[in-house]
Amino acid sequence: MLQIFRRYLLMLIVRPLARLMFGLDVIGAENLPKDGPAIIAANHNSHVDTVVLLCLFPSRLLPKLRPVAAADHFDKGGFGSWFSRNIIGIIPIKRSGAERGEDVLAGAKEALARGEILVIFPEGSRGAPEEMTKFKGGVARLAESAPEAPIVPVYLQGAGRSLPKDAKLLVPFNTTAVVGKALYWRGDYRALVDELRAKIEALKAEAPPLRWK
Amino acid sequence: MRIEGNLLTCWSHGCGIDVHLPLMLGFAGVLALLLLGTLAALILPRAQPGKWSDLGPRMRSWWVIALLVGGALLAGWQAFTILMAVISFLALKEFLTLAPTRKEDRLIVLLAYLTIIVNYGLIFTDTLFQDSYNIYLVFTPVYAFLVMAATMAWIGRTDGFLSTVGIVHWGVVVCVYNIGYIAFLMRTPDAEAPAGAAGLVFFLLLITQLNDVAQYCWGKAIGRNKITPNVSPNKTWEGDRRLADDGRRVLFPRALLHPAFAGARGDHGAYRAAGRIFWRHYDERDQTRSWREGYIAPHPRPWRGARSAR
Repeated sequence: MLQIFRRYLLMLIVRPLARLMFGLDVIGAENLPKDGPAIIAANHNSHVDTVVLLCLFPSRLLPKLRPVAAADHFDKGGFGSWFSRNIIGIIPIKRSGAERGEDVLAGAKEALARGEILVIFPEGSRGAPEEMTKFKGGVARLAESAPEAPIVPVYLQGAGRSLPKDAKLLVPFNTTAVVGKALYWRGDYRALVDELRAKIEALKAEAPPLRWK
Repeated sequence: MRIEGNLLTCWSHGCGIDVHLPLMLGFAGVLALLLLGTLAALILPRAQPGKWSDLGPRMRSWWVIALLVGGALLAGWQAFTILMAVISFLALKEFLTLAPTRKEDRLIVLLAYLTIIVNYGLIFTDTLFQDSYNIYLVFTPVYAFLVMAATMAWIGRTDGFLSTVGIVHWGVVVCVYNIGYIAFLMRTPDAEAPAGAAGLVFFLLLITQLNDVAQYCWGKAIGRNKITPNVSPNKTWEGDRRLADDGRRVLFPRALLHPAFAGARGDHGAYRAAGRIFWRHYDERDQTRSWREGYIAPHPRPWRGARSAR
């Protein structure tokens, strides 16, 4: 029931609104996975990023799309927590304060095992608008747990202008998502993270020029 | 269906739509052109592979434009004004996305979007108070101009003041204020326009779009020397000359237009707006061109063209 509600909410309200507000231009849509399990890895500048990524997929895949999000931000209890978990469909991840020996990625690994599509932001935080920071290693550990899952690099541009970190006003600007060819787990954590970062940097060069200071 | 004078009344499900006969003929003509174009898009790429590859996507966007605009024209001025407001919003967003802006300018950009509400709101209030059109005339060029600059000063943004204020206001005038005149034309009283207000708008859009189509066809057929190779590579002097000398004079003689607009009696705002648009459009060919580029034609994103050219 809730899944049907979520699907139609995203399809009939969120997607048309997002199209109107953010344009949702896509380059390389054919590189998006047709089914799970898969990992979508993108740069992160804004809460709008998640909306843009959810709107890239056909509504048939919506029940499988699971954004991986910081528990300290989105899972603080109350209505916000219910909304994030059930409507956005997040998998909460503890960024700090985990106990020794606790696998913070357990939830995400289970989702991959169920054949779901994870949406993750390897930077781990939004940071300054339209700038990319260091990638964290969690994406490689997830890839190791599901070596058959393609890791699809996506470069998102423009969302950091619409709603940067700490901003209170949402200002419409067009966003562009550049989707690259998938890469796979090959047995080396560092190499995977570096390759992913290089791929997203390369996609950035394909995006339309952004005159933003 | 009932015909009275040049007014065609269609009855369906108990509610009637009045359509002027010339407008109906115009719609039929556009439909015929669209069908012809669709046929050409099916045949020509096979006859001369490569040369007509962009005709198919062009035909698709023309179908969408024709259905949206035609539907809004039939639905009345309210629907048409809302359609134009949405087009203004999309155009302004595209403009501000491509134009150089800074993160500190977000508030000013938001104000620019708010002008769309006031601008089109003034078209809705045209019959409520008499000065609505006069306020429309000065709101964007004067008040939006001043308020946006003053806001920059209030929030203390003195760095890059001129570039921000200049770019944003320029975008508002092009994307909101000017497009708004097309919607204002829909408020012309029926008694003042031979084919109704919708007929005036239809005529304006038709000559603008035909200009584009004719440029495309003549340019492909006999065009050699490009007018502005860096801006719009499909426009050629040959296409323009042919269009100006033959097409427009035969199709739209000034004598036909004159009685409609030169005899301006009323002081009605929309009526004067009509005169402004038509004479500007008719007399200044260059302006017509920039008009079309900026407002109605579904041009691909400029950066995309640049990339594929590389």
